[in-house]
Amino acid sequence: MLSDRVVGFWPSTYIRQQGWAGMNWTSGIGGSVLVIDPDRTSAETLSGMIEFLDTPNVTIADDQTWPDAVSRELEVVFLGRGLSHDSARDIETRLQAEQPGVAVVHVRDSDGSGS
Amino acid sequence: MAAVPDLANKFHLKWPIDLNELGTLLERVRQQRTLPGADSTRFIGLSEASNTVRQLIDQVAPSAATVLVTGESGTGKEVVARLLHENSGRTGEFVAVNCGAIPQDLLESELFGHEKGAFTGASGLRKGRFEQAHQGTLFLDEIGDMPLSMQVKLLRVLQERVVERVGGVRSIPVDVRVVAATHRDLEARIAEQAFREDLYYRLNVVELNITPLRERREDVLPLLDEMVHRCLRKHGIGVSFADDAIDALRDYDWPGNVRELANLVERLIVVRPHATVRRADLPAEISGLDPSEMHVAETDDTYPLGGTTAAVIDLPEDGLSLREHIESIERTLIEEALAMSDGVVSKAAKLLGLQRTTLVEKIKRLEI
Repeated sequence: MLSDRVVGFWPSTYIRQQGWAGMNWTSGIGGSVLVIDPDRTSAETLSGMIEFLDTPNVTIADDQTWPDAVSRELEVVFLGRGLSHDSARDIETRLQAEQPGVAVVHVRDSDGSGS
Repeated sequence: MAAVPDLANKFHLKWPIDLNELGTLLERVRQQRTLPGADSTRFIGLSEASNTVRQLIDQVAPSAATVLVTGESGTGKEVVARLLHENSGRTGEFVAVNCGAIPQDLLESELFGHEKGAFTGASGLRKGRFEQAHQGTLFLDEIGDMPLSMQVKLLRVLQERVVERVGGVRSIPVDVRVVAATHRDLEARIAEQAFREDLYYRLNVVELNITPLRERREDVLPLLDEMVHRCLRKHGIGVSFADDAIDALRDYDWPGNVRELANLVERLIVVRPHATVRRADLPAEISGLDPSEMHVAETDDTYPLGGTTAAVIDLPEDGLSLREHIESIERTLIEEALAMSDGVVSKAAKLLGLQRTTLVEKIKRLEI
């Protein structure tokens, strides 16, 4: 199902799929991406999708292990829908202090709940 | 409760996650984080012809040699000129002048500047483009359209490396690398006595010819990729292409070359934001389909290019620049109207329900 959705996505993806590989196209994220979500299934689903989109360096943490995980250099941090508002705020505060350039993505349920 | 600090790059994503949305978001993150280099100039293409152009740029850029860039309109002559400058190590500015767009009586002042009181309206001293490009590169576009009287003066500057402002008596030394470009056949212009042979040889120290896009079709997809990413950076909106659309784009002859391809992507961004473009969504001249086979608003997210352009988009969660978006829509409709009226502004104005003067103003403002 995923591959069906991806065919004809960004032209670069298409080109790679058609064997036009080897060119200097960049896509996806080259640096480290962290997904923080106490819900393991959600975290793995999201990290799998991110990896699928040419972003290989994805790791997962939960609401207990995130302090260690954010101590290394990150490019993007996904705050999963299973995180409490307080945890999300704590993580943002820490990132703001230590890695202010990092991109933070809040994942929310369609009804607006989540981090 | 302590306030949550604002992070520079904050995004939102809805669960369940749509792969297209996630891809768009990752793309935006990547573009924002690589922004300083994101718009750096590149000559894109997989073809042998493109490789040759890149190799020549590498070889020629570090020298001070004058370069004549030739090729059809829209092939990317200014891109080549910029690359020559960026890879030259010259510390001055890159200054571009379109010799065909400046009235003859203003061109001398534009290139060489003028002294205060040199002519009516010359209320102050003005440095010309040559002086502005000192220690840099002066790009003289459409050199084939330069009036003969100016060609003599340009030749003198190229020979003596000094300029005299209009109304001035002092010779000002300039260290300028000149890159000239034209879509015209200069040798034919020489035969017509419309271009000076001595200036031609002075400019044509190195000639760099850019092949039309129809003769390097393997470049269409890499260019398309670049255009889509450029739109993402500019508007935060992308489009995708289905297989049949990609085939049609590769088969098309692109008489307007890379510029036509860029304009098409800009239009698609407006009329089919975040959508997958199919062959039937492309203009008839590209798709090769009869009008009856083209999409006519068959679903709520399908907008025909050649018909009424519906500018309906979903507002991205992180917002967009309304002004830029409206300008983009204006540009698309004006370009369509001009194309439909063969460039006759008064006819295009009528199609758009505007006064001619209003349309002229918009064309100037949007640099169409």
